[in-house]
Order: sequence, then C-alpha cells, then structure tokens
Amino acid sequence: MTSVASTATVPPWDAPLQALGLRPLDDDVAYRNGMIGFRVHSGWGTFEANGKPRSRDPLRGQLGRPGLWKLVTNRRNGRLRRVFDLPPSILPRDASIADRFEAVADWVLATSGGKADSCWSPPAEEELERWLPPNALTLQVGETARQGDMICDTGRLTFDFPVVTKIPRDLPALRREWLRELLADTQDRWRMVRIGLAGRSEVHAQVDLSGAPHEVLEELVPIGVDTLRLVVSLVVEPADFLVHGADGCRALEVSPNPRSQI
Amino acid sequence: MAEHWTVSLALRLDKNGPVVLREPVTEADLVDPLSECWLHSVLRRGHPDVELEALRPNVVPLFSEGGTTCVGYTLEVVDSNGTRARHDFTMRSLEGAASRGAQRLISRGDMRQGDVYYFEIKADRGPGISVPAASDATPLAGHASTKPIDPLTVPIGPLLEQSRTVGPQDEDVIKVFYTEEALARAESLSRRGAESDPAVETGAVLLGSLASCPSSGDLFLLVLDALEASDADEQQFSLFYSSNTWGRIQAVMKAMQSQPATRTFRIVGQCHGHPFIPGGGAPPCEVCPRLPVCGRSSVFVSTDDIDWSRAVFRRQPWHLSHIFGLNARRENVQGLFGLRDGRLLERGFHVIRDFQVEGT
Amino acid sequence: MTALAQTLRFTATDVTGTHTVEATEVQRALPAGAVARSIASKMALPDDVPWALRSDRTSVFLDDDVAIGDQIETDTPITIFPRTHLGGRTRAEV
Repeated sequence: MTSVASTATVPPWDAPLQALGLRPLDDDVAYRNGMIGFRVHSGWGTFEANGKPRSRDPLRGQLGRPGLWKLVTNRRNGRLRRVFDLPPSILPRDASIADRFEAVADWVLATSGGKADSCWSPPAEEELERWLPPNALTLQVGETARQGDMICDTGRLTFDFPVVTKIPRDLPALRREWLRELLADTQDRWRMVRIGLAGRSEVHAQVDLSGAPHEVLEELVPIGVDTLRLVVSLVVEPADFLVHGADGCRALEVSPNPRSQI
Repeated sequence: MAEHWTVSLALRLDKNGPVVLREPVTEADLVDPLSECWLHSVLRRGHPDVELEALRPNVVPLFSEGGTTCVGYTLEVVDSNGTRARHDFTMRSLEGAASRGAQRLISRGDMRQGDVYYFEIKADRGPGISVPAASDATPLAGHASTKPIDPLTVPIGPLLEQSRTVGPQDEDVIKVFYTEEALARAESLSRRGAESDPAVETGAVLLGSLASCPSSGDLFLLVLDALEASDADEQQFSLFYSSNTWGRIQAVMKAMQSQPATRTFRIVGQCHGHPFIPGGGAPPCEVCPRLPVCGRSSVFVSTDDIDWSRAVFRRQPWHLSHIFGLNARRENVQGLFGLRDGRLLERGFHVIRDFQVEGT
Repeated sequence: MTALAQTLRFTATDVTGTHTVEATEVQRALPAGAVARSIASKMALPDDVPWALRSDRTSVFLDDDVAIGDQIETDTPITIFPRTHLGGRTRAEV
C-alpha cells in the first residue's frame, strides 16, 4: 500500500490558536475549544462565543463593552450569535508574524467575559490623532451631520457616534419597530461596528478597541474609524427619516416583524 | 404614462474623435433649468401661487428632426392639480456638467486647461433623473421652507406705455422694469470703484418686487432701488461681500419689509463694475472708428459671477446680474443678464420714470 | 442625554431671506463648518460652494472648526453665506 502525504498547508494562525487551546475542525478553516470558535470567511477572521448569549436583545447592553464583541442574528433561524470580527490585514500572512496574532487572540479571549483590563492603557491621544485624517470624527452626509467622540482613558479606547440623538417618546409603535429593524439589520450586515440603544432615547454606533495589543492599533484604529464612519453615513439618514420624517408614509404601516419590540 | 430617460454628456477632444468621457447629468445640474421652467411655464402663466416644490418634473430628450442626435431636452412638469407645462432647453444649458467632465479629464491628464473640447447629450431610456423640487418632503431634524412669491398686483400695460427700452428685447424672458432712480443709483455704485487708482470692483444688491398683471396674469419684475455693498473687500478683479456687508443689507431689508411701502421688497439681483479695458487694455481695433458700436467690452458675466449668483439666488429664477464696464474706446457700457436656457445671458429691460406702491 | 448627544436648535436663513430652515437637535459638539454644509444641503443650495454661518445676534461669522455649541446659544438666529466672490477675472465661455 502506498501512503500519500497530505499537501494541505497549515494556515499561519494555526500555531497561535492551538497555543490558546483551540483545535482545528475537519474543514481546516475552523477552530474551537470549549469557550469559543474561530473561522475565516471572505478574508475576515471571526471568533464566536459558544452557547447562547445571556442577552436576548442585540441592541441593548452592548455599548461600552470592551473589544469588538457584538451580538448578531442569524436571519435564517433567528439565532443570536456573539462574534468578534478581525479585518483581513490583522490575520497573519505567514508564520513570522504569528506572534502578533497570538496577542490579538489573547485580547479576544480576555474581553469575551465583557470585562476590561484595568491595567491596559491606550496610546497617547496625540499618537491616535496622527493615525487618523483630520476631522475623522466629524461626519456630514447631505442634510445630516454628526460629531463623534474618541473615549481614551485607562482601560478604554472607544470611537462613538450618535446615530439618533433623541427618539421621541410619542414615536408610533410601528415606526419604532421599523427603526429597530433598520438598526438590527445594520448591526448584522457590518463587521466591527456595534449599534445600540443608550438610555431611553439615543442610538449610538461604536467601535471598541479597549485592550487591543498596541502592535495592531496603528492598523486597527483607521480601519475601525473608517468602518464606523461608513456605517453611520449609511444608517443616519434612514434613521432620521423614521424618527422625524415618515409621517404619512403608508408603507411603514405594515409591521416588519410582529415579534420585535423596542 | 410618461417615458423616463437617463441623460449624460459625451465628451470628445476632437470634433469627430472618440468619446473620452461620459459625464452623468445629475439632479443638481437641472435645478436652474427647473426653476426657469417654473418661472416661464407656471408663474408667468397666471399661477404665482404654485410652489416650485409642488412640481413633479420629467426630462424628455429632444432629437434632431428624423435623426438620433439629441439637441436638447424638454422639462415637463405637473403640478398637484395635474396641470402640465413644458419648457425646452438646448444642450448649452448643461455647460456646467460639461465643465465638470472637462475638469475630470484635466485631473487625469487627458486634457490641459484651455484646451478645446466638444460635448453632446446622450439619452438612454432608464429610471430617469428625479430632479428634486428642492428639499423637504421629509423633514430631517428640522423643517425647511421657502418664502412665497406674494407679488404686487400691477397692470403691466401702463408701465409698458411709459417705459423706454434698453438692450435686446425678448418676449420669452420675464419683463424687467427699472426706475430711473434705481438705474442711476446702480450705475453710480457700480462705477464708484473706477475712481480709485488702481480701479477696483464695487457694487450693490438690487432691490425690488415681483408683480403680477391682473389682466394678463404675467409675472414681471420691478427694480426699485440699489443698496450699496459697503464694507466689502474691493479688489481689482474681485468683490467679496464681508460679514458686515451682509449684516447691513439684512438690517436694511428687515427695516424695509416692516414698512407698508416696501413690504414686498426683496433682493432681486446684484450689480457691480468691471472697471477695466477689455483685452488687457489693448487699443481699439483698426476698423473700430468705422463701426457704430465697439464690439469689445468688459461687460460679461465671469465664472465667479455665475458661481456667486448660483449660490445666492438658488431657485430664484428672476434674479439679475447687471454689469457696468468699458469698451475698447473707453466708453461706459452696461449689460443686464438674466436666466435663459439655464444660463445667465444678456437681455434687455424697460426703464420707467418712477413707481409707487398703491396705497402709499 | 449623553454629553455627545446634547443638542441645540436655531433658525437659519439664506442671505436673500427666501429659504429658511428650523434646525432642531443639532449636536452642540458639531463644528460650525459641518453644520453649515448640512444646512446648505437642506436648503438645496449648491454643494460645490463653501458655506459659512453668521450669528444674527453678534454679527460675527462662526469659526468653521469650532463646535457650534461653543459659539451660539439655542434659538440664536443664523444666516448662511456663500464664501465666494464676484469678479471679472475669468470670462465665462459663451
């Protein structure tokens, strides 16, 4: 009998993931341990927490949590998933920079419990500002303008934009459902950006890089802010329309989803 | 059901050469033509109460007889009562879009500033351009509104009888009546800068009222005063209205609009001087002494004048630009420009001795 | 309301007094320049012209780069101006 040696290449993230206790599954693109799994899809690396998320509402209770964890909904079966997406440039191309990925994976695991590392400090604000183009936190899209914020403190580095500054108390229930549907859909479609309700009447979009290893921040900060700006520019006008301008729009008199509540 | 078209411009560097760029014609390119259509096909037809925002427009290409070459387009509009109107435009009305395409060619190195280029309209059946009738069908964190026309009711016949005409007359444009005093004041304020050394540009805003004839229903314009652009930054080839300039104009307008005699006054245009000899100061041509009129003058609307007017008088298609300049013989000449075919083109006007608002 | 979402309201008018916008829920932290562009968009004014805001109370142009909430109070009437000039330098092609 002749044995044939496997010619499949081992991906460069194999060693760092195995070092953290994740084992490859049969399909060679997924890894898993008791807590989380990892998979590469469309060039992005996605970590996913095992088991049912504690929260049932993807739009509540997520803002301000460290790292890029967010709740997304599987639209086919309605199942909630808790994921952490990494852009293609962060995944190692070869084993020589696999160490960097191990630090990233450490960050993912460390933040999976929802707690920040109180010993971690972000880079100096001046350095962060050098990584961003001028006026990166000011967004003007047609008639709508939004000012974002960089929250830079011990244990915290978050980029935040308000999407809706005030949901009126008397907003009709069906328009609230449509607003919720828009926000949840945006949350599901776009990686890295987390959308959530702040208090009773505000909607914010965030990219949270709290705890990230410094060696990847120079790459992650501009990617994160660019993605955040893109998502806010796409969602802010329809959100404003639903909150302020949709009077008389008959299409919105049909519920998007009888089970949704805001 | 109306057909819908998508319109773009094909640019060539050679008259018979290949198309080097297709530049889309956007909603913004059609704001001035739509305003003009509103003025001539709606307001001047006895409907001064119909707002521009109430019109639903459609762009229909115009083809040469028996041919496939698009020579222009018609803007068809329908108001909320279902009344239809239309107004034709040549392809020259899209020069702004062509210029934008030319800038793109320059940016990518396919053309240099000053090179000649050619453009034509291309029309394809498609979803069409929606041509927004301004903003605010949906208030987004705020509400936009536009001041109603509210014209004076003035019979036009007696004004035409007593007036003298200046410049080329055209029945297709809104009639303009200047009082003698307003015209003299506009010229004086515009030519003041010529007394400086070196000469600088000075000017004023033109104040007046829109009026509607009770018998014909036609809408026309009365220019009744000129208000100096004081505290402006006056330079040899530019005139910039400062914060103080506008502040004073606004204060005066507010005071005027609170008085019965001037309640309907609005800013209807601007005037300024081009106090320079055309052709860089070159002397008159050889045949000039034999000609009744010198053909070279500094009376023209510049690209800066067009951009300023487009910004200040958006969706006010009756607005005027009055330029006071010199010809090559160093004689004073002037020209009044108004919106026609989507562009500021020279036009004539009427001059009346005086005008008093009824009841004042 | 979070500090980021604190807002103000005002009425903005164009220089001819023809177009008016009642702006509500404008973030105080927004630079005046961004607010000017969004007001211009709402009035359907040309977007290839630089726009500036002027407080009708103080007669002062607002600084584009400074937060609008640091320059005006709520309900301050505002005028929007084009930062462009007249001038005979370049003849438009006819």
